[in-house]
Amino acid sequence: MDHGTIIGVIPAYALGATDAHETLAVESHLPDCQDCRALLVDYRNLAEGLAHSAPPVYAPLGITERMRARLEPATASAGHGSWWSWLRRGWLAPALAVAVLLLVLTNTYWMGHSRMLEGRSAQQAAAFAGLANGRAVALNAEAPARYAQGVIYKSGDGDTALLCVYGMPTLEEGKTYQLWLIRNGVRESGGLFTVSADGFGLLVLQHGRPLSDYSGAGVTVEPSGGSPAPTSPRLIGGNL
Amino acid sequence: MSDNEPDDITLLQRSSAGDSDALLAIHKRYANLVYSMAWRVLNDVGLAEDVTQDVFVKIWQGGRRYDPALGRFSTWILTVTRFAAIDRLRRERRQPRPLEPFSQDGGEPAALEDMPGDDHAVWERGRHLHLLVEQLPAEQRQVLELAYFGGLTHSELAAHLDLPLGTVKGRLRLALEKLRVWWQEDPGSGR
Repeated sequence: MDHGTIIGVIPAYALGATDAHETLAVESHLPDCQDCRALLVDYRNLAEGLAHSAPPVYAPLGITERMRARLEPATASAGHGSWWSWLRRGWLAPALAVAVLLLVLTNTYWMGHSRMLEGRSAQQAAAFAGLANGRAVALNAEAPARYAQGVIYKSGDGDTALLCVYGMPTLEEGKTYQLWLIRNGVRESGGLFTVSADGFGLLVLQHGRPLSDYSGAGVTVEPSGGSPAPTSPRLIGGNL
Repeated sequence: MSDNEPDDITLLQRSSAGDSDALLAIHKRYANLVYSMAWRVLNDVGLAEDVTQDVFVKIWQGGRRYDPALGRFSTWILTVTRFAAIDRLRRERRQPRPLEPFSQDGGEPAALEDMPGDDHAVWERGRHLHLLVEQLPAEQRQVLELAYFGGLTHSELAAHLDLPLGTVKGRLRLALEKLRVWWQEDPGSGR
């Protein structure tokens, strides 16, 4: 390729758009041609501008936390992390502890004051204590709730689990959130919950089988009282 | 970035030495930037996040090393991301696509003030260049975006668009020549 032809492909070369034989020709020519080298500087500046011209958008919520989980030791698979890896932020651990305590106390109030129920509450408290040695599973947002996030904390023995959600959309009147646990493609209800004005919610998972039987989880919006099967798109979900 | 926070070079050096907190600090600073480029190429929220995380893992594992002598860190990481996203585009056998004007489906627009670095002028110039690209004739804009964000070479452009090779080469050259002149005459605010 002669100089006149090379000059014509310098712009494409700066973008990395030349075919292999053109690239080779340009790179052979450049050491001997100051004009082409100067032109290349101009087009590389343009390429740098193009690099910064992609419309800036926000990454999905929680992306750094998911990166943190990915960097943890190989015993934690993608999307999983130990309890403490999710609670490094100083404010979150005490806030969650208070929330769990309130949930236990609320359960105690609504179930009454019989000796049997008090014992059950004690069992629940012990189960929650077991969450400290458990695992955390991220539930990622799916459109339209792209800024929502959920975490399922599983106890070490896998029998107790707590769902925490953040950034969930406000519910309309007559609606509730429903957690689904997925086993062999079948969705079983894991419980109903609502969220605060800022989208925060908690749910102690209700499951008739060991948690290890379930492969996935997801949350949908359902009519108050729940549904036998999901009737709306999944807002957050993930593999267990 | 405040005066008390380590600069990018320091964080990179620490992350190369195995400091995961340093890598996460870089991630927090640059995730939006990297994701923006990945999403622009892939137009898929899940794939864009995958590529975003892959870029930082490669930095973490030392497979990608930044040399300050070669330019801005933001330019370097955007280039790495662009190539990673184009690779993923090819592996997924997806079709590259030009950006529709004002289309932000899947991406919440970010404020330029939230983009990293102390030199926000580079973002202003980038945004201005994006507006200049939108002023190109449609057929020139198309080949430019497919070449840059789709990673297509001359021959691949001709095949993709079912056009003669000379036609796509001419359109790409004209597009870039026009942009070079427009941008030199008016680089936008910040310079």
